[in-house]
Amino acid sequence: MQIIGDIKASLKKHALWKELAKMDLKVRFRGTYFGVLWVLLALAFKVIMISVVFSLVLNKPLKEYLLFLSIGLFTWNYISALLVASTQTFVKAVNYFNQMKMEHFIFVFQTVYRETIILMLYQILAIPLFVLYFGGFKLIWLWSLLGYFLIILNGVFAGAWIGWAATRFRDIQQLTSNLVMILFIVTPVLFPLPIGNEHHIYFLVNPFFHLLEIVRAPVLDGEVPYISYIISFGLVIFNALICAIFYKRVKSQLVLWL
Amino acid sequence: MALKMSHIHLHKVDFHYRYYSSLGFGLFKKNSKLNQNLALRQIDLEINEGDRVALLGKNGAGKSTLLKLMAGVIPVADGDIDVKGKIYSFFGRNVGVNPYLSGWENLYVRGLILGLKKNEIKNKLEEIAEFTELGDSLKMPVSTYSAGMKARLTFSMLMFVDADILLVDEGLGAGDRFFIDKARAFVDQLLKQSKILVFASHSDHLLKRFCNKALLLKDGKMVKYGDYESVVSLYNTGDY
Repeated sequence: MQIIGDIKASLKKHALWKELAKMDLKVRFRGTYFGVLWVLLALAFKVIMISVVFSLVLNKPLKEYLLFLSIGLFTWNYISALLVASTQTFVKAVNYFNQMKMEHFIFVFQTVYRETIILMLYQILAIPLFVLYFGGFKLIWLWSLLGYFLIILNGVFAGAWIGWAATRFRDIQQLTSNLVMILFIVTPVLFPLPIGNEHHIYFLVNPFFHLLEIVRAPVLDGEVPYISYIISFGLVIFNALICAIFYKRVKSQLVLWL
Repeated sequence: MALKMSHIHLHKVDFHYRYYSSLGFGLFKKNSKLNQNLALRQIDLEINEGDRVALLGKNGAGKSTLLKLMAGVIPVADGDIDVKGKIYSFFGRNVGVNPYLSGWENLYVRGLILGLKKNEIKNKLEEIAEFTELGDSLKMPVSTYSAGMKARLTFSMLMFVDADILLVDEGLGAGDRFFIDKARAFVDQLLKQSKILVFASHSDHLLKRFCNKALLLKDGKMVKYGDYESVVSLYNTGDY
């Protein structure tokens, strides 16, 4: 299949998309005093402000809520950044596509790699926080790594087709950034599943809930939510299939949409 | 061992720019040919090793479109295109330069895009930097460059080129007078080394120096293809 060839060739050019991703970050924080530290400042600020208020709203102990919120929030930040950035993946690469024939996944990897660098930076705050609270590292946390891996795979495949769609239909950029805000409210990021309604269908059909759980549950509850892992894996297959179905048609047309 | 020969063969190639007027068009085949604007029609062309082809024709005749088709940037609508050899396309000076990054960084990314290895790029960067004569300015963002400096930078990116086929659309002239002499010597060498050259330009002078064949286009159709002098004389009469 052509798409596999594209992915392989793009993986080979890892030096290129890594460099492009790093340069994106450089450009994003150009002229600022704190530079890339802004990533951490913004997160810390957000976590503290929301924790103080929502621990009161939800009547939870501050420490416990802070922990719950921070892991949910930086995972959510990562997912939402992937969603929003994916709509720009190909639009931003217009100069390259107009000049020569290029593999599509180079730019998909650029987007995912860039957002993953930011996720890594979050860990500078997160890991000490968790190690301090739990008094050490627990083996079950490794499941969260698998969780991130599944999010990354989803980010690649969903990112590719969202990128194509958003290039063809520019409305999707607007739609996505609005949708992400709504999803933030309706997905259990700020609040835990409400007691008595834990198994409500509204939460269970939300794929983003499962993507959060595969990172959050092993750390917070010391449990492995197998169902969420299976659903997240199914999501990878679903997204990869969409890419495979549309790749051939999009491959030749994309440059005409830019 | 058989020698690997480069070539570009086009067989009955059509291309139209399409534009879609509403939702759903384009993704679904049955609607995708609405609103099309024919850019090239029934192009039959054989370019073989050693051919240096000048593309002639008025604005909008289809010169740039033809080059983009050869480069594989845009797909043919109908017909076949067969290209053998490594292509380098130069479609304008501002393409592929990020104004917020320094000259060095832009050069580095260009090397990566062309598929060079990190150390190959590093080896060449010194030579290229010297060629640009930009000195410490290379450390500054390109947005601070004057037009001439920018031209030097993008022009020098050509030094990464290691291709069999060179596709050039306008704008090879670069920078101030002193630089032009240097640039000219370099372009001479580059164009001479390439196995195939397809060159769209409005400069008779440049075309004459480098091309041995010419293709005359009018409204997306081939008028004449052959020996440079004979096609140019037809072009110059304006009666075709």
